[in-house]
Amino acid sequence: MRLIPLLSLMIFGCDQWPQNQTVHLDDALWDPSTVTLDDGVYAMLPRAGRLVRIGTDDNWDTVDLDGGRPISIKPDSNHDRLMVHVQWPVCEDSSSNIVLVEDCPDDALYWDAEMAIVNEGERKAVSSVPAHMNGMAFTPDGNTAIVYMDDSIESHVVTGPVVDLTEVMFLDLETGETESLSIGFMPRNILFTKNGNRAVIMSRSQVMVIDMETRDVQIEYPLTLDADIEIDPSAAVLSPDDRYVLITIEGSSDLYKLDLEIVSIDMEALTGIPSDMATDPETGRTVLVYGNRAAADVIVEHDFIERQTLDLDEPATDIVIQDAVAVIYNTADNSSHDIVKIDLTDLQSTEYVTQNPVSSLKLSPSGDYAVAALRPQAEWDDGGLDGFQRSRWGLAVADLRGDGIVSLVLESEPVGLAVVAHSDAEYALLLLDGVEELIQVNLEEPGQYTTIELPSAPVGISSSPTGGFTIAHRSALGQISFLDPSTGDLQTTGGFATADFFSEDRLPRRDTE
Amino acid sequence: MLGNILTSLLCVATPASAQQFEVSVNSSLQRERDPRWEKVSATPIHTSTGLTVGMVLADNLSVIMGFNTGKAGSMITVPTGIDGQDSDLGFNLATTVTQYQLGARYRWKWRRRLIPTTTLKANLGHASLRMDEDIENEGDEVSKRYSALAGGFEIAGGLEYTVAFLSQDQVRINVGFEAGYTNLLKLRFNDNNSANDPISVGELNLGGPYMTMYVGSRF
Repeated sequence: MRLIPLLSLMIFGCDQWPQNQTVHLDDALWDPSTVTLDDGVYAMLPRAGRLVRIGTDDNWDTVDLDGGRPISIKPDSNHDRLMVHVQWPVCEDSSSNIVLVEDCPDDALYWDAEMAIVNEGERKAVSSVPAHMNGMAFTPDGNTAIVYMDDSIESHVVTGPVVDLTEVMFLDLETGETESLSIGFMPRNILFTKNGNRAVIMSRSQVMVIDMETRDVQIEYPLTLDADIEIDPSAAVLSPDDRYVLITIEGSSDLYKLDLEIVSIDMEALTGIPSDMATDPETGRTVLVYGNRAAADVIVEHDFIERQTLDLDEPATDIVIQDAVAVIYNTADNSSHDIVKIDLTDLQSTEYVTQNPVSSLKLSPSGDYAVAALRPQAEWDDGGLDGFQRSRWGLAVADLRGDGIVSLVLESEPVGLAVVAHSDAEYALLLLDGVEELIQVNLEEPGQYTTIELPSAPVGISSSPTGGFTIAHRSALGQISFLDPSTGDLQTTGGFATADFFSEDRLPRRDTE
Repeated sequence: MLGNILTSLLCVATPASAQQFEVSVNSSLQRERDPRWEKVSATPIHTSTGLTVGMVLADNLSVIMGFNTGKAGSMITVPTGIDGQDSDLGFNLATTVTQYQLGARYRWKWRRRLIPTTTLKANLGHASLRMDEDIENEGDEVSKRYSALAGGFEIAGGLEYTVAFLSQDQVRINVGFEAGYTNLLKLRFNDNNSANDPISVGELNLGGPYMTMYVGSRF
């Protein structure tokens, strides 16, 4: 079959790749914000309106969503199932000559939405969760989710004529069955007790405690008695014994303590507006940091909110807790360079000073190291090594067993950072914008690093439940690499974004609606 | 149906000419009516070139067979899909459509040098679709190649002009022009290697009005 085209090429001399024209498509062929489950990597294809599952060895397949187009994907808490918000066009005009979306009159066209629960590449269940309910909190056993509208996520796809901003939905992940409950305006933080029997749902000016068995409201806590005052919880934690809920309030230095056993509310006046709060289950202590105050509070006793204050050199905005150690740092202030380790057992603190402000921070699996991506402090290199470092991205490795810290200068902005342990050592896996290498930094000796060549520039890295990592590449046609960190083996699959490239914009489900 | 058409053509046939065989090279312009062609090329006009050979069957009726092939393609740019990144990504897309043709051409008797023609062909179309992120590089870049087959037809009418007679009129040197309509059934591109079941890459329904010019000889 190729002989004649070859002959014609010889006779007529054609260009193998005619490219004198440029065609621009408005939608990306794939979204690199992928989700890795144990059965593969899932990616949305916005232009084709498809969901694909990508495996190793250049294997990939499409997931049948019955004509629905995925608009967001999230893993469940066990990284076992994929929660897919889908929408599809519906034409109220049932004329048989209306086949494509463009055939449908504008006033007869609307979009319907649902949530599909996908497992092993198949749609296992479907539920009628509207698209604007974009937040999810999973019960400890991972079998039920509470879905709500998360106003911290920028994109809201509102479908249907009526949107209830007080609604939450209980979603059974096995069957897809849902149950709605009106809970208060804009529910935002949802906590579960360890046994999963109760859910605590924060909303504007009130907190509800829900019995997960009966789905009834057990307790309702008003955060204010004045209807004109709006109180929006910013962070919330459950005490380790599940008795108290501690709530911080946006723009306020008040700390609310709700007693779930003897129904009561206590208020504690803090000395600043908390920017983050976290509880350590091992020591049962809660840490508070303040963006406008150079101190951290550790609540060592929740019954009476007994606080111990640790003075800092600089305010901190973020907390990471692991194995009775809290690491606090500042991601908001461009002049702040401190990472502080707080031993929650004896409340001793150790300060580490980075060369540039912290952009993000991760702890190593053993908790021995803190690895921070550093952002440039200055836009311009004003000379000298200090200027060189200040104007560039960096990586800091703090040895939490002692007081040592190393700040490295990076070639470009990190687009992915993961920390992994293998071969009796711990490593930071670093991806840099535009650099076609994976950089593996030995945390014991941060200056010593090795590289693994990548097929193309990366845009992100995520861990997989099987212990490996998946790397999304900067690729128009779709490219994902699978990394085994213990061996450095890299397998790449590409071209999955070509699925349904020439698809027509057909109206799905015409026979069933 | 084809038999009926051929029969009706034979009924109005004029006496046979002296030439038994023909050969020509042709160049065609075709307007693609499938809107999905916009992803292949910014212009709806698809050009192709080909070769036709023929043999007189009866009177002015010849059976002809041949092929034509044409490439089209573009640089496709798409958004990155990454929030906050405005720059585009690009890849090259090219398709080669080759049509293998078998049909009949009837030459109406009119003038010695100027002859109206009517042509009917059955087509077998083969299309290869190539997508490559870096055509300068044969390495780790993402590249894909798919192919599809489909049947179709062509019907056209035109004029053939004999530029010169050679060898005591046994040989004619011709130029010709035909215009008509061509259609291929849907070319269904599938990825057959990435999963157990074929994965659809999509369809192209090539066809539309076309015009062809040819230079050849009858002898």
